[in-house]
Amino acid sequence: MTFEEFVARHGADLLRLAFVLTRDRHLAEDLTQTALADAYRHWRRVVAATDPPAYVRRMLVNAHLSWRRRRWTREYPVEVTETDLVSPVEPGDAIASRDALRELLAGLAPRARTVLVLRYYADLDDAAIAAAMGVTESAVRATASRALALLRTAAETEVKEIR
Amino acid sequence: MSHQVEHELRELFATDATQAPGTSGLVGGALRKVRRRRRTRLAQVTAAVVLLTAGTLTAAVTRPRPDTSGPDTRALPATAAPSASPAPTRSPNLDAVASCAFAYSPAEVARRAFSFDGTVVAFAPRKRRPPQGVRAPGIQYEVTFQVNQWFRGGSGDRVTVTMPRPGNTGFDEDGANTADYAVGTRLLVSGEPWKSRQDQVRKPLDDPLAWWGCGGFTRPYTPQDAALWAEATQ
Repeated sequence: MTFEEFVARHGADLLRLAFVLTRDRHLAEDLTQTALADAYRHWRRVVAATDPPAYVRRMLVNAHLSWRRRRWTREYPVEVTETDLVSPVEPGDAIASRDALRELLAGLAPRARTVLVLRYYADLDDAAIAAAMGVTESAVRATASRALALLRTAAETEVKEIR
Repeated sequence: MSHQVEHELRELFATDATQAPGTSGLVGGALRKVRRRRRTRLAQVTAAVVLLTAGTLTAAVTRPRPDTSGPDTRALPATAAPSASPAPTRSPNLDAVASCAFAYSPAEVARRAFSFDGTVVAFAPRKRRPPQGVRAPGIQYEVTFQVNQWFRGGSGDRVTVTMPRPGNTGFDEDGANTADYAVGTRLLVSGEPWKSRQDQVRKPLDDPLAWWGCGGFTRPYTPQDAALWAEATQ
């Protein structure tokens, strides 16, 4: 498999994952290109891996977390601009609910958010998430559990406030 | 409630994913990043090699020479000729280095304090500071070799020399200067003790520093080069 063939086959998946992680089109492109550039430089290692897409996905996740560490002080875009994300037309309640959820997600630590994205978007099991993030499975479970608990608590509080 | 949050997360992420940008520029963008990174790395490595070699050459050029009755037949390029007055202690003369005061040849290797054929068994970032008065970027590694053959300057089975960090491939387009290494790499290594201007003549393996570049004072092992080095250092 050549590098170009790999990108043709898996580039879109990586870009979508990058976009869900960053929620920024330019950042997602940059992140994906960075991961692919790393893959290109170590191409022999990539093709020798048991699961090349997982190998490159790990590069992408690492780059994302590394960027997030460096930009931790940067303001996270809670309100997504129209050019960044155009939601399909939905009933008002659903939009409000999703916006609220986005806001809650934005308040999570980058690692916690990444675990949730890998679990609920990429559909990875804990072992695969652990491999992608370079942590243990128990750390993944603990992080996910805490993040979900936070989201649940925040959501319940919101419901009570509305009532 | 738990399942509801998880369900909402799935829906939210799936919706977000549909808004991802197109993949048209991915390959081009990735390759541009590769090229940019290579250029940056090349510049860094070149600067590092120049500075590292500068310390050695400056020290070698200003080393007090024994007062001999006969003429010194050693060929010194004009840029490296010692001045009549003692040079002041200062940063290395980069101009002299940039023009490679000592170009590689087996005969020039024979003039180095040490030279050997060795296989890398370990390497780690250098913890010792460079000699006083020598400017050097913080990327030196101490590389331990299992010596296959000493040409000059030593006799033990193992020796540890200071070298640029591994991964310095590509700084010389014709490949002649490239001597990247990893554990198991067999190299022909030559160099001098690393010393400052103030240092007196030292033993060949007092803080040995491999010479890098300028045609390949440290280079990948080949039987042909090894034979030339052996002949030149006899």
